[in-house]
Amino acid sequence: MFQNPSWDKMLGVIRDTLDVYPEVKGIQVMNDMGDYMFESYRGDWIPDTPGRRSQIIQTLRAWNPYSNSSPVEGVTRAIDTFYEYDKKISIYVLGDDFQPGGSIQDVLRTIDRINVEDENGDRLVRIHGIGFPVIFAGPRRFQQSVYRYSTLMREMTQRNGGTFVGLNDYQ
Amino acid sequence: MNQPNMTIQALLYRFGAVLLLLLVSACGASNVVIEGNFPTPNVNKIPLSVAVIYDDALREHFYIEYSETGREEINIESGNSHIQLFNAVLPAMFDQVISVASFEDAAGQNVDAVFVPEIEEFQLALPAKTKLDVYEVWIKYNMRLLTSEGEVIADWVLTAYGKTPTGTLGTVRFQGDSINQAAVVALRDLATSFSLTFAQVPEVQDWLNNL
Repeated sequence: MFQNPSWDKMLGVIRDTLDVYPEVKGIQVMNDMGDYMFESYRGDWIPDTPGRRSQIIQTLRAWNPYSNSSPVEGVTRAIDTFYEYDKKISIYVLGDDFQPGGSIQDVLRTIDRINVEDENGDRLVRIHGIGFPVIFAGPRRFQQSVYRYSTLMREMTQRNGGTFVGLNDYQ
Repeated sequence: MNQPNMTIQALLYRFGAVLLLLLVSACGASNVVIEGNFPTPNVNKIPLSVAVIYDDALREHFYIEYSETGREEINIESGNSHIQLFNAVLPAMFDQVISVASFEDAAGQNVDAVFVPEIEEFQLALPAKTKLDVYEVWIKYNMRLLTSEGEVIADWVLTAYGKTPTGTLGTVRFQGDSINQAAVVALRDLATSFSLTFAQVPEVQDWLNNL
């Protein structure tokens, strides 16, 4: 996705996010379909080392994954694969649209069913969202999906113990 | 990304979503206490009076699963569930069953035999390590039947196995629940094989024939 004008911004946000956590127990990167960026780490955590962090950014720079513009498959697979009850996991969804046709309510219900509450009322994993206003640079008739993505992620993050940040620039 | 009504220009302007997952922290060893219900087997009772000794090793049995780096990952306590299991199975197999603390206590009860179960080995297989979609528990027992004076009548090995599926899409289970379910299946497997094969153990068979 290197031709996308917001890709560098997205890389910067990922770098900033990783910097907030100087040391974690593991890292993983997926597209919204739940496909792994590093197939060799399918189902496993990528060890957190400076070299791996650098490799993640390098690989992301040229990654061009398929997207169906709905994070539900990726979030579902992430929770189903990586959740363990003694581990604290955060998912950051970095996206720019949720296409008309998909039901926001259905996505939220699906995530609610997967990311259930534990005995303390906490969700299995924490879901954060970051929105890129990329599509505002395109024709107005396609901009509805930006609002839909923001609505979806604002509600999803609120329900799942996270925060949604809508960026005001994509470059 | 591949909606047919979108222009090439708009296609270039969007990337869908990328997920960054961070395993922020992992706690120390988690504790799993095996709990379950064990039905009474429907078998013919043997007209014997048997004392059972649950020694401390069985009562307080625990198993620690270590991570690949040697860190204590999961502590599984199964002593109580084993006692619960034998308390359900033995009265269905023998006319009279009493629980005693030692052979001295058994000698005073005028019983026909003393049964002493021991756990020799406990193994746990986790999906994260086996890459299989199941949790598995395997337990190896040493069953001993002795006279109240402590002479060995029979000494045999039994194994039990249980597995349970991991959470499939949409039904994430807690790891502790899955381990518990696998262990309960293994204990029920033990109950079945113990109650059905007890009288077929050659030394037990000889002893029963000579009573």
